[in-house]
Amino acid sequence: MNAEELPMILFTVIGQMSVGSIWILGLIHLYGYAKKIDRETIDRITNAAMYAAGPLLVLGFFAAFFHLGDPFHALNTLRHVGESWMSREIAGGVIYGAVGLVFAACQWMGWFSRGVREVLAVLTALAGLFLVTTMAGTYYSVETIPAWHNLSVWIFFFGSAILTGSLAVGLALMVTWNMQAKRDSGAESKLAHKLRLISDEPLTPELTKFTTKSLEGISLSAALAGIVILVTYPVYLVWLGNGEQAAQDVAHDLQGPALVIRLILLAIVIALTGIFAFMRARTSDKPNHALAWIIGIAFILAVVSELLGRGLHYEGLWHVGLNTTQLLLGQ
Amino acid sequence: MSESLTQAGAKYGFYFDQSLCNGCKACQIACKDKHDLPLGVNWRRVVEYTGGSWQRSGNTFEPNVFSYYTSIACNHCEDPICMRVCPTTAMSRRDDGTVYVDDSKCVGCRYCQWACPYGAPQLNTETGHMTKCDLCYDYRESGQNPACVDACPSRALDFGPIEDLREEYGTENGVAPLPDPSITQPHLVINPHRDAQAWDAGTGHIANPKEI
Repeated sequence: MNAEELPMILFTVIGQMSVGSIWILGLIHLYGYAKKIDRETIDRITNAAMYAAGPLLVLGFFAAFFHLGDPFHALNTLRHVGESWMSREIAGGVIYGAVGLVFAACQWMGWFSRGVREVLAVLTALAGLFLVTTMAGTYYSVETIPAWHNLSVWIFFFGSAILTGSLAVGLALMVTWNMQAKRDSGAESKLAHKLRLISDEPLTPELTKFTTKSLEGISLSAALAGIVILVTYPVYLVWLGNGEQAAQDVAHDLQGPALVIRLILLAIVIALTGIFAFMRARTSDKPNHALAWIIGIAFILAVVSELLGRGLHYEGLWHVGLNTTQLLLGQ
Repeated sequence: MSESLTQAGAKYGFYFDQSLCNGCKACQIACKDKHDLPLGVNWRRVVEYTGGSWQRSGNTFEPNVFSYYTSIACNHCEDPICMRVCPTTAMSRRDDGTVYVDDSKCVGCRYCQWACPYGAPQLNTETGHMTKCDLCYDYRESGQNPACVDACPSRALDFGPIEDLREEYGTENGVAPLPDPSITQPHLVINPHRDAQAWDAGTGHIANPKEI
């Protein structure tokens, strides 16, 4: 495994989780509008997840700094957005972070009208799309690295965003829902109240229905993204194995327990979300531990699987022509 | 010195006579010494490429093997992929066509190192910046040849404006294990070894991967 690429592994996985969460939250809101559910009600259950997306990105950026040889020159990385995909990626991260922060601040403080905040939300989602696109472009655009210069990078990155983003939102919904139920039964958490995870209005059948419906959708989108990633692997590996010398070298290096564990975990996540979480969410009429556990475990396994998968992605750092020992050592 | 070796628009490059190289690595050591490069950083490297198979002659099979050396630094390419990918524009080109790292801009992200198919840009972990061959700019300014060129005991290395080199030595620049020259259009001319394999032949392998 490429431990020296850990900063990049964390940045891409966490950044994509953050963007994926924003997209899933957006879809939940759209679903709520379509069902004519009161907007304040939608906010009540989705706010926790939204406030989690920002710190996630900050965490990712913090990790990315350790990739730089000279962090004091970090601002220079924005000088070449016209041609360099890495420049664009960093710009994408900054824009997404800035727009997201403004949106979150307005939402928290209640600044501006609902309409303005909705526009900000859409802009955040679009900035996220730009970020994940530039992330994939950073690797895809390097034509001298066959393991990256193909469609799989796009599938893995966008798949990862949907998979981990769905489950992160799912987990946040479960936390909100459980806390609210606890509060309704008289055991209110002061912290949760301060963080506005819960409100003084008790759970309604409408709110419960909306939550379980959202959880059903989240389970399905996570399972679907997992299946797409899982199916891409054999196609990608056969392609590498039959490719030019540099591609074959990568296929050879990918053999090993990390790949096997990554795929098994992914299969478990697909089963947990696509079958168990989906069924359980369908039949739940109140928060229950079983559903919380299923989604929680699926989330952890998905993140571990994605971290392993991203580690394997950096095994692909092997270019045509000459590869120096320095590249091997990652010095 | 009568003639300037840093003329604007000259597009300097290297000439390498593969048929003369015996893999002694004097060029590599001269470079390392001249630029005082730290452990793990080698702007010029000597690659051993080897391969072969069996050949049938009459009723017997005879081995038909090859092995040759390629001394390689930066080729100061016409279309340098390192400059394309660099997020900071630290990877820059001088008026004379040589590519160098602007220390005041480099962030040490290694993206140029990822992309370059010749392994030219390398990270100096002490400064946190990328480093690479600048074709001994200071030597050339004072009318001297690059250190590697003068160090070669076989006289296998030369340098000059790429058009002059091509006129004198031809246009070969796609010998294995070097990559497809169309990727970056290197300012490099090679007089190939008699057993030289084409870049896309896939007939051999690098015998000393840990030395490059």
